[in-house]
Amino acid sequence: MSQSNSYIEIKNIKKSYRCTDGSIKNALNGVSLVIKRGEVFGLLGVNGAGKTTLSSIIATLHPPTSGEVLFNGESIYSDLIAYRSQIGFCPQRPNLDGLLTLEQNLRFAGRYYRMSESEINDRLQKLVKQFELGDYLKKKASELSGGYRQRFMIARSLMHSPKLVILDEPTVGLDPHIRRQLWSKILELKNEDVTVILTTHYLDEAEQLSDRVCIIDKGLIKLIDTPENLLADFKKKNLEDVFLGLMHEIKDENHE
Amino acid sequence: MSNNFIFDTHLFKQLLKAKLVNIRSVLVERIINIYVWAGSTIFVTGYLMQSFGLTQNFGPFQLAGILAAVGLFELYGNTITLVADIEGDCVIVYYLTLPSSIVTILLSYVCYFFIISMSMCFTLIPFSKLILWRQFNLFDVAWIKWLFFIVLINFFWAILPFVLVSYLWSIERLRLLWIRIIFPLWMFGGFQFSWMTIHSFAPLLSYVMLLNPVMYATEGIRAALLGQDGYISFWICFLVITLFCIITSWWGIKALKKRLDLV
Repeated sequence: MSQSNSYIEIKNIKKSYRCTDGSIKNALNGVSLVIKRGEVFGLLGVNGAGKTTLSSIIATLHPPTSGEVLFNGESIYSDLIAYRSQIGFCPQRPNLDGLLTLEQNLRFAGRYYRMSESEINDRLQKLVKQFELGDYLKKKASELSGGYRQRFMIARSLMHSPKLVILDEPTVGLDPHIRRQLWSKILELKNEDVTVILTTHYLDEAEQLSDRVCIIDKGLIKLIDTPENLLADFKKKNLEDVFLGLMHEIKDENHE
Repeated sequence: MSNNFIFDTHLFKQLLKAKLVNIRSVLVERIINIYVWAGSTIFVTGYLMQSFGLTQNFGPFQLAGILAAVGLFELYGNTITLVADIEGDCVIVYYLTLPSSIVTILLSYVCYFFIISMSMCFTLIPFSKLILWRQFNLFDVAWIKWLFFIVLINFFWAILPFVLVSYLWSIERLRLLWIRIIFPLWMFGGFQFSWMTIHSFAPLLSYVMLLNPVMYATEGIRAALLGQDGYISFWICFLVITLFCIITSWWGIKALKKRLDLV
């Protein structure tokens, strides 16, 4: 892949944590990949594979132990504030401010990024319509169902019109029909030229939404390709079979 | 002016505004609490305890102790708020990914905690005057000194939760905060006695007590409120609490960064 094509470039990222029992856990063991502008990039893997660690490093929540993340060819730490202004992060655990109404949550999300009140009003109207949030604006986060809480989370991460959105397991624990509804919202982002990093362990979700998927296991990248190429290469009908096949291969390799 | 500074200032203002949206209801509750605590303490020590031999100025003496300890008792609630957030909703995680430095984010929390305890202290003065009436002469108070000092100690109490949060890593551990940290700090912080009284009969213990920031907070407030006689020098208290503020700020940021593994 040519350098000019890269939007986010991750170079040999390693991440170790000290566990509560004092042992060291290597969450990422040297991950390198390139994410292109405007694509939906799916990060796939079982629980504990390192997806959330990677997405929170890209979101600048946690620093890597070693390696670097480049945004448009520059380290994201060279101008952290400029980089953060261009990203929207929707973490796995909904963290809306419970003391504010949902409308206040969205309005403040705009103000934090120095949007004017008229820009906030326009953006709010658009997102409320797009995510069908109108009936819930005066409520507080604790009064919402999981599905609507997640919609508000995504809407909040989009409030300042970021160029890059990191969605960490946005549909985990949701009913299938709500998941489908959220899928259509994520696909709409692609039409707006927003680059999306989508962390998920739902294989159908990754297959439906991603332009390319990256399968991570034990902190290492196992595969990166388009869902179509993976289906053709593995001669499978869906990504779930590809994933299961790959996991079997890994298991066999480990046994040998 | 650099772009980052403008961003930081703007974000700080907005974060603080967001925290202050519901301040009225929070303040009403807190002020009722402080009135109950301070009112009953001052009434008992200012009137009832005199029949047990306490001097007449013990009510104002206790008021100074209460003013110094308002932030200390808020410390418990503020630490619970932060630990509950880190263990639960993680709203702080959202703030920490906003385009700003960690200092700005933490400062917005500090200012929020500070505003609440300062408001409590301010409302306590007229309330205490009503209870103590002739025992508490407002013309004897060095108001400028009092104002500077009350700002300083409440700022110190507002920073301290970040240090504690870094070591009290679960809701369960919060049980320890009251008994093992706040209670001894308070009891050995001169709430019921002045440092010089202790020094006159237990010098060694009095020197150990100088390690306790509550002692300086209490003595400094007394010096401003009741006059310098019989208390540690106001300026020494001011200097020591300033030092505590600097150390706690540095330590709090460092410890929280470590605990949350922040950039």
